[in-house]
Amino acid sequence: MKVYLYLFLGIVLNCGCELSAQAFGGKMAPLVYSNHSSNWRVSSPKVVVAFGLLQESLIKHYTKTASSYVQHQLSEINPAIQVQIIPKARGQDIVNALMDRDTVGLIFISHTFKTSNTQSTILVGADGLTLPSNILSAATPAFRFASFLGCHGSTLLGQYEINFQFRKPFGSKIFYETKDTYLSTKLTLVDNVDKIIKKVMKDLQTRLSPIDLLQGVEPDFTNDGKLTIRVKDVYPQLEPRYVQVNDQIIGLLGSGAENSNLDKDYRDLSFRVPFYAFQDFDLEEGGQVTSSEPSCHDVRILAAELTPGGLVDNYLIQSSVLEGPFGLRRRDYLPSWHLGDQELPIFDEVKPTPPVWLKSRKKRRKQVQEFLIKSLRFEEWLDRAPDPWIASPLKARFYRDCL
Amino acid sequence: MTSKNKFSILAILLTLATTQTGCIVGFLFPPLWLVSGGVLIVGAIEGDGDLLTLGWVLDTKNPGRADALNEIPMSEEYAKTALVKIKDIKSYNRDLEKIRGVGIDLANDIRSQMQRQDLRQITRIEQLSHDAQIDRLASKYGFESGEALFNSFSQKELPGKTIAAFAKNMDITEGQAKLLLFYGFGVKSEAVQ
Repeated sequence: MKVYLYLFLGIVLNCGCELSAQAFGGKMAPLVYSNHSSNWRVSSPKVVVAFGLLQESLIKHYTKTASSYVQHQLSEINPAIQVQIIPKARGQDIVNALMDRDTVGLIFISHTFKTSNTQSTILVGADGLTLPSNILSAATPAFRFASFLGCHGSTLLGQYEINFQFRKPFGSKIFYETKDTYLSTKLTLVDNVDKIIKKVMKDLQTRLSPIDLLQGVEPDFTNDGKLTIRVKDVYPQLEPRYVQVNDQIIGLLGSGAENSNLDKDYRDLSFRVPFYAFQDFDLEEGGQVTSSEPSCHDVRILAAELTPGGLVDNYLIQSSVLEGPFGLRRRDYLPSWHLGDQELPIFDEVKPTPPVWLKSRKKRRKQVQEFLIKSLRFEEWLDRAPDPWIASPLKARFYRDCL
Repeated sequence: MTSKNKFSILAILLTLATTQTGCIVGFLFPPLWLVSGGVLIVGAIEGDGDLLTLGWVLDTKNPGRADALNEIPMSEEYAKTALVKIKDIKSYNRDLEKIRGVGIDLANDIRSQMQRQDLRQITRIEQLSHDAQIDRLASKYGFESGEALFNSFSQKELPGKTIAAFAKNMDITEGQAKLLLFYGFGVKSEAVQ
């Protein structure tokens, strides 16, 4: 009897500590990056509220918060601001949002996973793939603020290069840093996600109001360029890869049908290169960011994370053409650059189709486990006929060239 | 209360403490980085096929593997921790393909040695000094001998000259070598006075 009493007391005490810790949670600190340069003038400002990997019920709940509370608060700052909600945001959606000249802010909410070596936290998109550390490099000078909501919030600052990306000379910016190690949601007694969103809105009202979004420099696209990659065997949604020029993300390959190619022949896929991506930015000791004009432009195509044994895709790259104020720079690869993981791809493997799940939760769990064990045997699900690959030995896991 | 009972209570308290009740991550399942399989199953149960990929991302057996073989974020903190300059992180990221090759090679070499049955009988480090396989590997990575390799790794911090030799043999810079060894293998390098 005494044992049970101790046990009960222990549980109550432990829960008490947990709850009180949560009650004091919801901490947020605005980090202001003032810059002598100006932001872009925005006529139809947009704030994006995006949800990565998150339970459906939470997405529904916070979507309501975004469409009512957030929209109302932002309208008080500037009636023209619109909230765009992305319920199941993948890396491509975030890049699209950031590259949009009207996007002035981003609030991203997702589960996170903690890495063992860098002791940092990585945000996860709705497709279960991680967001790369330089994701904010895709933002235009119109961008004013960001907030990433997930567990271990303080490590997101380093992981997402905030001190580097927000010190680039494209106007002032604010990063809303969450301090909670464990961020509670509406599923618990205290909803700290809601608490933080409200704090962000209140802070924005004091900081963003003086900065009239209609003021700033007029966006100039005259010095923008274009990167054209000639590819084949790019499978949609299989290991999407981020395309970068001088470490700045300009798009993705293989994230959807529009940037994939399953045709027999090669196809040109083009990406707009904003003028500022033709500069090479450096983070100096002491935190300053400097820029320089590189002698050649570093073009890279790489996945956000290596996923050992995961869903990988091999591409063939035939050429890469970079156009900009400097003219046209072209590189042809003969044989084609074979970008991928394996020396020779496996073909004729079939992706196992998920069974129709049983209704009984207990049985279904077992069924799911069996399915996963079976699926995990497939290390690589690959494309096409073998012919073009034989002539093209594996060149690299990542594509990189200086044009 | 018997010690057995005390242990039972302690075990329950510890379990409660580690479930991260209320966390955005931990409410439905334990910490992602501990039990990725849980996420995998929850994902599948919820019927969203896309969630299935998460299990691979998390890689339960070696959750940190992705860290050093991917880009390292441009952050002063990460540079300071590994005792390098920020420009080393930039060069690391740009030469990632080559560095990844070095890292995978090193990991495979370590693994192959760990799997050797005959090494399990060895009780003193001196016994390794005449092992041909280890000597060959040591020389590949810039160490004088197998014994020197084991001695270096048994120290708290890897001496600067060892890092320099490793970097030279692998054709990477010292900064890149420090980052790879620190974030990939948890080996610290000696601070320069």
